[in-house]
Amino acid sequence: MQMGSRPYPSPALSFHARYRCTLAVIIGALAIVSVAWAQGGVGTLLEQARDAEKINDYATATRVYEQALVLSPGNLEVLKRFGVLEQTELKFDSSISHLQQVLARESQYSEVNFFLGMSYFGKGESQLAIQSFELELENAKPHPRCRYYLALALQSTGRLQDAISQLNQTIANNPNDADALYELARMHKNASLQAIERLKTIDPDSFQLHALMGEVYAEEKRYLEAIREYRSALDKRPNAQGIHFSIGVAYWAQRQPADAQKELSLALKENPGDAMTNLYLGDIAVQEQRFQEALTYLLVAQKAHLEVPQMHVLLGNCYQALHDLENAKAELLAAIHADPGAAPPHYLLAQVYRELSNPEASARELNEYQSLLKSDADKAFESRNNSYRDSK
Amino acid sequence: MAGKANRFRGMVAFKAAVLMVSASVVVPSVVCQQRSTVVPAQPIQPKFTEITSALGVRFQYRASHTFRKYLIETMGSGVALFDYDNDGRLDIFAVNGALLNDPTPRGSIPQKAGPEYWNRLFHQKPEGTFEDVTEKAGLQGIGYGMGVAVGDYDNDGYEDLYVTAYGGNRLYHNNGNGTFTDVTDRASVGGGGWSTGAAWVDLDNDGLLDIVVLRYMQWDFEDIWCGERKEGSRAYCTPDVFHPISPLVYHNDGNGHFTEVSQKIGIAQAGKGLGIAIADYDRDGHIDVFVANDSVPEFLYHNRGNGIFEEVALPSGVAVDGEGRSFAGMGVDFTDYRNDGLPSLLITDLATQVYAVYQNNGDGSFTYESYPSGIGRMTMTHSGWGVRFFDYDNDGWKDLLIAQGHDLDTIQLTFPNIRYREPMLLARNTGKGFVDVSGDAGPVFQEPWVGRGLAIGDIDNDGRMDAVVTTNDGPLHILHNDTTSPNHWLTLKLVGHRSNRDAIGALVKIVTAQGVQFATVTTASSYLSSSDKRVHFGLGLDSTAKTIEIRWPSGTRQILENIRADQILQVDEPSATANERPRN
Repeated sequence: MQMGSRPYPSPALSFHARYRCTLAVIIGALAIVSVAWAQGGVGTLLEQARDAEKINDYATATRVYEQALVLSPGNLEVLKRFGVLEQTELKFDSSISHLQQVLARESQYSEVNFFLGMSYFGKGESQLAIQSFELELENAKPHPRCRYYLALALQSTGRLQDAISQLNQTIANNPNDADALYELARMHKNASLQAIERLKTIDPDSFQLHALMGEVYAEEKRYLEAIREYRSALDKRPNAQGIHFSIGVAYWAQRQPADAQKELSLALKENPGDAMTNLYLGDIAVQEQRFQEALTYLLVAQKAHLEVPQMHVLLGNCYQALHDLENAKAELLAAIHADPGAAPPHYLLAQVYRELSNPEASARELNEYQSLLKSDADKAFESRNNSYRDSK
Repeated sequence: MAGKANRFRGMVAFKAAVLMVSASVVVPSVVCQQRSTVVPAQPIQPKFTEITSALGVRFQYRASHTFRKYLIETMGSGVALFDYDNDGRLDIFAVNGALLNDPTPRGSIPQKAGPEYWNRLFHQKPEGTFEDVTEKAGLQGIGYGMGVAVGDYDNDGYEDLYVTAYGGNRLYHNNGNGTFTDVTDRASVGGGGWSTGAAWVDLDNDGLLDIVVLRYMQWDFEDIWCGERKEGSRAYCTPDVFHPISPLVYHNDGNGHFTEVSQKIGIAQAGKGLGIAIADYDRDGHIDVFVANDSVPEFLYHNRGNGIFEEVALPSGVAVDGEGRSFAGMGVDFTDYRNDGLPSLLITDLATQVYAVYQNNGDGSFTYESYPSGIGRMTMTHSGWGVRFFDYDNDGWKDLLIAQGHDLDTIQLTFPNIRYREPMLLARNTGKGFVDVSGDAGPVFQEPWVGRGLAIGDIDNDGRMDAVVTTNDGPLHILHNDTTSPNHWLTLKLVGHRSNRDAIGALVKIVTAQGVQFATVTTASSYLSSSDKRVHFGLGLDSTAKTIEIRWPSGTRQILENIRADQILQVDEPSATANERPRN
C-alpha cells in the first residue's frame, strides 16, 4: 500500500453498496407486513409495486405508488414504501419528504425513523441521520440494522467512541455479525492511527509513542523493530511497568531465550505474581530442561487458571522429568483433553506410561502420536495440492 | 602458501607390534561401559585457517537457481576426504549439480551441461598442494549430484566411490592406477528417485561392504508456488508438502554385483532421509544405522544380529525432540563424545529447532540432552548441515564442527534474526558439555557461508584434524587446523582382512593414563559427505597409549600395548589364514 492511500473504502464511497444490501433485507421485511395490508385496491397496487421492485423495475413501481396515493391519499404504508423506493433510487430529498409525512402522522411508525435516517445518511446529513436512528431505537422493536448504521453515522461525525459503543452492542446482540465486526476492527485501527498521529504531533520521541510503536511492530511480528522501540521507551521512562515483559516476549518470539529470560526476569520483579510472565519463564526453563525452576514458575501461572493447553504440556514435562509421574500423567491427560489434535502430549504421555511400567498404555499413546503425525502430514500434502491447483 | 609444505609431515605408517588375541580368548571387553576419567584440560585456543586457494583447489558448486525455486536447489552437495591412490595423503572429491532449465519440465533428469557442472577429484601432491585429476580419473559424473560415500567394496585395497544424485546414482570402481570405471549397471546399484546420503557398511558381517542409500522424498519438477504470492516472496517449499520415500539397501554379493534388499532386511521405512551414520549403539557386536529425516521422525535401525533390522527410534527416544516434535534432520554424527563407551547422537536441523543431542543411556534408550549439553542454547538461531565430532585440540575430548546456513534464501523476510548465510560453528567439548569457541578460532569462523557438506580428516598428516566444507552455489573451503597445543595424538589406519578391508564398523578403545576413549571406523556421518576412514585420538599430555583394543567386524579382538603417540599407525586385522579372507 502506498503512503497516504486508504486501507478501506470510505463510508461515502461504500454507502451505495451497503445500501443495496440493506434494501434487500428491507424488501423482505416489508413483504411480510404487506401480506396483511394487501386488501382492496391499495393492497393490490402494493403487490404490483412489490413485484416490480423485485425485478428492479423501479419506474413501474413508482407509477404504481403514485396511483396508490391517488387512490388512498396520505396512506402511511404507501408513503413509507414509496419513500424507501426513492431512497433506493438515491432520490433522497423526495424520500425524506415522504417519510416525514408518515412520521408527522405517526411518529413511531414501524421502521420509518430508520429509513429516514438512512436517507439522511445517504444525503450526507449525518447529524439528522443520528437523530432519526436514535428515535428508531426508542421503538420496542427497532429495525435490526439500525444500531449498526447509527455507529457508521456516529463515526462519520468523528464520535468514534460512541460508534464503537454502538457496534459493541450490535455484536452483543449478534456475535457473528461480520459487518459489525469488520467495522469495529476498522474503527479501532483508525482510532489507533489517529492516536499515534496525535502522539507524534505532541512529541515524536515520547515514552508513549515508543511504547505504542513497539506494540504495533510486535503485532506485525517485526520483533527487532519492536524491541528497538520498547528500549527507546525504557530510555524515556526506566521504571515503566510492562515494558520488560513486552521486550521479553519479543525475544521469546525471536527464539532468543537468553535475552527473553533476562527481560522476563526483570518483568517478574515488577509483578511476581503475573501469570503470563511466569508462563513464559516456565516455557523457557522447560525448553532448556531446567525443570525444577520451570515448575516454580508454572505453578504460579497455574493459579491464574489460564486457558492455555501448552501449560499442561509444560507442567507434564516438568513432573515427568522430576519423576512425579502421577502428576505428569494428570497434566498430560489435561493437555490432551484441551487440545485433542495435538500430537506431542501423546508422545510425552507414552514416556510417562513407560516409566509407570505400563507398556500397553505407552504403546497405545505412541500409536495415537503416530496417527496424529500422519494426519498432520496428510493435511500438509492436501494443502500442497490445493496450492498447486491455485498456481494453475 | 609459504611455510605450508614445512607443516606437512610425511605419513609414518608403522606395522604395529601387535599383541593378537584370538576371539576365543577371554579379554577385557572393548564394549565395557565406563565413564572416562579423562580430565577436562585447560582450554586451548583453537585456530583454523582457510587455505583453499593456496592449495590450488578451485571448486564452485552449481545449484542452478531458478525463478521457480525447485527444492533441489537448496540442498548443496557432499564432499569426500579419502586417499584414492594409497600415497598416504588425503585427496578430495567434490560433488556438483547440473543445469536446470526454468522451467524444467516434469520428468526431467538434469544433466551436466559443461565442465562447470562436473564433479571434481583433486589429488594431493607430495608437497601438499592439489591438482585437478577429474578427467584422467573419469569422474566427471552425470546428473544433479548430491552425496558421496567412500568404501573399498571389492576389498582390493583401493577406495571406490558411490555418488548419489537426483535421477540415478553411480558406482565408480577404483582401478588402482588413478582411474575409475563406472560399474553401476553391472553392479545394479543405480537406484532411482532423489538419492541423498549413503553409507558403506557391512550389514551382515560377511566381510563385504554393503551400501545403504537414503532418498529424500517423492518429488518431481513441478511449478508449485510456496510462500507469499507477491514479488520477491516466492519461497522454496517445505518438505511437508511432499510424500516420503523408502531407502535403498544394496547387499554386496561378492562378485561385483549387488542385490537390493531393503524390504528383506527391514531397512525400508518411508522417510525423508538426508544424513546417515552408523554405530553399534547397544554394543551387541552388530552395527546399527541411524537416519536423519527432514521434518518427519528420525529412524534408528537396530541390527538384530540375524541380518534383520528393526526401526526403534520412537521407543528408544530418538525419533523426535524432548517435547515430541519432529524437526528438520539434516546431518548426523553417532559418536561416543562422552568417552563412556556409548555412542551418542547429534543431528543438525533448522533455526528455532536447536540441534538435537541424544545421550545414550546404555540400555537401548536415549535421553534428549540438547540443553544440558550446551548445544541447545548455542544453536537456537542456527541451521546446521554437515557435522562431525573431532578432537581439534587433541585434549582427549571430541569437539564439534558444523557447517551452517539456512535453506531459504528469503528467511530474513519472515525471521529477521535468522540468517541464510552463516559462519561455521566450532564447539569445544569440555568433558561436561560444549561451549561455542567459534569466535576465537580465526577469521574463517566469521565468514557467512551457505554451508552444506563437511568432511573431516588430517589432510597434511600433522596430527591435527582439518576439514573440507561445501557451500550451496558457492566454493569449496578447506580449513586447516593450526591449533597449537602441547597435546599428543594417535591416528589409526585399520586394514581388515577377515573383515571388510576398510574395517568399517570396527570399534576401537584406547586407554591412556588420562582415561578411555572409543571410536568406530566409518566414512559416513555428516551430510552427504564422506570423511577420512582413519580414526584419530587426541591423547592430551600422554605420550603413550597404554592399550588399544580393537573389535573387528569379524568378531576378532586385538590388543596393542604401549603405543607411542604422534604417529599414524597402520593396524592389520589378524588373519587365521589367507583363505579365510573374503575376496571378490
